[in-house]
Amino acid sequence: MDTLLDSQELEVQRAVRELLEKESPTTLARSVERVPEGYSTDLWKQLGDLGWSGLCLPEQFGGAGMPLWYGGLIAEEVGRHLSPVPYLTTLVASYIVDTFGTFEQRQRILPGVAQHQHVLTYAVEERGGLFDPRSVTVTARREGDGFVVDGVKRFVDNFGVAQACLVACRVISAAGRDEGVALLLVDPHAPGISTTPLVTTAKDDERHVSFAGVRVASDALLGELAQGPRAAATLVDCASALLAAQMAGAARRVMEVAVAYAKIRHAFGQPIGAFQSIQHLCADMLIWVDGTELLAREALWWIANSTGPRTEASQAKSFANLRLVPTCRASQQIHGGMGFTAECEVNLYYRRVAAWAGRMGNASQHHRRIAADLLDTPGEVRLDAMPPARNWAA
Amino acid sequence: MRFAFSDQQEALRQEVRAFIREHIDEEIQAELLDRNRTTHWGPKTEAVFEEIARRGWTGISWPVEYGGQGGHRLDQYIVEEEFGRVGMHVGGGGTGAPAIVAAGTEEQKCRYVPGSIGGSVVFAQGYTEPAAGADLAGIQCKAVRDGDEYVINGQKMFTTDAHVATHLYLMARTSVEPNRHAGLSIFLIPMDAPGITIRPIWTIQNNPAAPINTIYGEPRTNEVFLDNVRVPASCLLGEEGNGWSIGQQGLNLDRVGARRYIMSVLQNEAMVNYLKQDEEAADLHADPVARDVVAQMWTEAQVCRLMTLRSMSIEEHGGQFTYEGAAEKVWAPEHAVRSTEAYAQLLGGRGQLLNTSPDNIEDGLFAHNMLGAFQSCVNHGSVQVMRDQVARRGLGLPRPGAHKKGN
Repeated sequence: MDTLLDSQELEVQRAVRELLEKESPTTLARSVERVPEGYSTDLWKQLGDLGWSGLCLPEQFGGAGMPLWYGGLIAEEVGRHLSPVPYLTTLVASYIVDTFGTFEQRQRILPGVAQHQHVLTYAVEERGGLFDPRSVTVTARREGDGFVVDGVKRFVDNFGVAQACLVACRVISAAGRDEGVALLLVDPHAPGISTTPLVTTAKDDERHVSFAGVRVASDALLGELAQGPRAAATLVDCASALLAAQMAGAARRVMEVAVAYAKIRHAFGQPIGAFQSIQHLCADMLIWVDGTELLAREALWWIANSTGPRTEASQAKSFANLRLVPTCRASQQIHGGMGFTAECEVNLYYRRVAAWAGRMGNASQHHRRIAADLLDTPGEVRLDAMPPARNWAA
Repeated sequence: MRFAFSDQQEALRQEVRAFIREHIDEEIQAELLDRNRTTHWGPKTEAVFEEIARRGWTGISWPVEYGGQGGHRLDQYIVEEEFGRVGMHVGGGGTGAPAIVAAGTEEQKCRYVPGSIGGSVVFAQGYTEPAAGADLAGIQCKAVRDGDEYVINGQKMFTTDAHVATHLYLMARTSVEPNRHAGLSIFLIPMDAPGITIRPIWTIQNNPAAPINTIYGEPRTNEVFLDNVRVPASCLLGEEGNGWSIGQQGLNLDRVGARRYIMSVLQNEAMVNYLKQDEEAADLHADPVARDVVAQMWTEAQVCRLMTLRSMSIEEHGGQFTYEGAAEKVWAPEHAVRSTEAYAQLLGGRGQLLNTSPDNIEDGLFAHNMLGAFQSCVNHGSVQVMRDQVARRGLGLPRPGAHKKGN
């Protein structure tokens, strides 16, 4: 047991921070809000060339073979600098392909990520939510040598720029029998796909995606059919925990900005940071950020050391949602009227953290899932021995 | 990072849990709850504690030369946590011992620290006075040098365990200085010294007494009067006038670690287990509102756990806290209070029934928690004082008034 970073983890954190401090000022994040591709191809190429995009992929596919929580450290830095790169969705999808895909699928997809700056993403959420196989109504009907996909996915990030998208589908046999939920690797440019771009508080690339008679080959089905629900559940947990890490990175920075401002802004004859009302607000911000960071790191560590979903991911994301939006708001509050202006850097953080808090599960959805894992399982609970996660078990 | 204990640590935990199942029975628990006890442990608990010490589970991370095992902080944490779960404070040296190791003479270290780990020496902390709590500079209790002795006069307040302690770990004023924290000194005084009078202060938890594992379920604390108490000068710890900085040693012992973590979160486990196991809770178990509250408080409790493990990790690496201990001492106590109030709203009429009441829940555990939880926000540095520390040490914010003209 050791919650602190070891020397190798610190080295990754330092190197990524150094790069992004230099190459990813918030002006870059702001300018990318106005370009159609929604991310900085230059910065994404730099991250790829330096090996950060493939850090957690196996060496045989061009990666560095580091465990998933190193990706969490990078996500923290991406959040800290609001770096406009499709890192998170690419890491999540590549981790799921690596964990659940066949050797052929891994060989087909992963070198593109590690070596050619490919972007990956995932499409899971529908009207019925995220945590229940019954929510998956997009169908993949077996036909000939492949599948035909129909239905609508909601809130899909980076879909327009991705080379491949993992889509959670309900597999239907040629005879019309429900074979259960599975992930399918879909080309976002395949005929029959249309998208509805959304205007998000983050002003990033998010869409609803419609599939109408989209034909995919049989080898699009990720791994074994029977592993489908577990793969989808792990995807949701992996994305939730990484998003929490990214939110923690952003919120830590927004807290630091507020603290720095409170030291130089004077009122009533002293820096406002000398007033306890401001100090105690800042202390709470630090506690909330630390708490999220610890929960997210723990969740990612356990996902990497388990074979399936982990309730810890929902702990991290629900806490991030409930505590980090107020952290950003507190930073705005400390900035006074400046906090309401478009040019204030803090607002970039507020808009993004608020958007991320609404993605991959809001607090009540995650709470429902945590409650089910605690209350609907046999035996007594202990905080340090979480019962096995049960989402997508049906 | 690594978020699992090692195999060796897990084995230790299982061994301790097996020991507890075998040895900590109802008689021991009755002794622990006995409000008329005049010694630190009752006779049966004393015997069990000797067995615990024989197994090498006391003072695991303390130096061998002073009665410890010279082992890992996390091993000690495991022992503290498991015994904490059954209401027993077992593990390290108690109040005073860290400061004695840091500032004591060799003779003081050998005399007090092994006993403090082994249970034969129990210090009651004598800092607080009627007019001096968090602001120790307000201490008025006086110690005047008279030849080879000091003569001490004053009053101490909220002196927990004074009635079962063997010694008083006393902070007193040895001179009046312009610097607020100068002129304070620390003394190690036998509790049976002539001139010491202990009076009980009954707490909000007295009559009916709280069940075991209540957050601050102690029915009594004490006030201590010192009336011309004469002690040899060898009772002085460290240099005269250096008491404030010596006194900072070991304050974290009371603010962080297994004991405060456990007291802050046991109710969160108890609530889940109650909803799962009690037939009368079936409606609540199915209620989406209750389930949301339970999940949120559970997650907050995990933050208590992780902050405690962060503190343990820092200590294991031999590091010093900057703000982490203070942050833990804000989050855990306030979480405990939020939990008691949220659960009270779920449990309704039965939730406010105390121990001995007909129809209460788990001997009134949730009701007594509601009475006791806020105490953790007050003692050993209030959450307000702790937030000051987080802001100033963790974030480098300036002291109030430091920039004002004329100051």
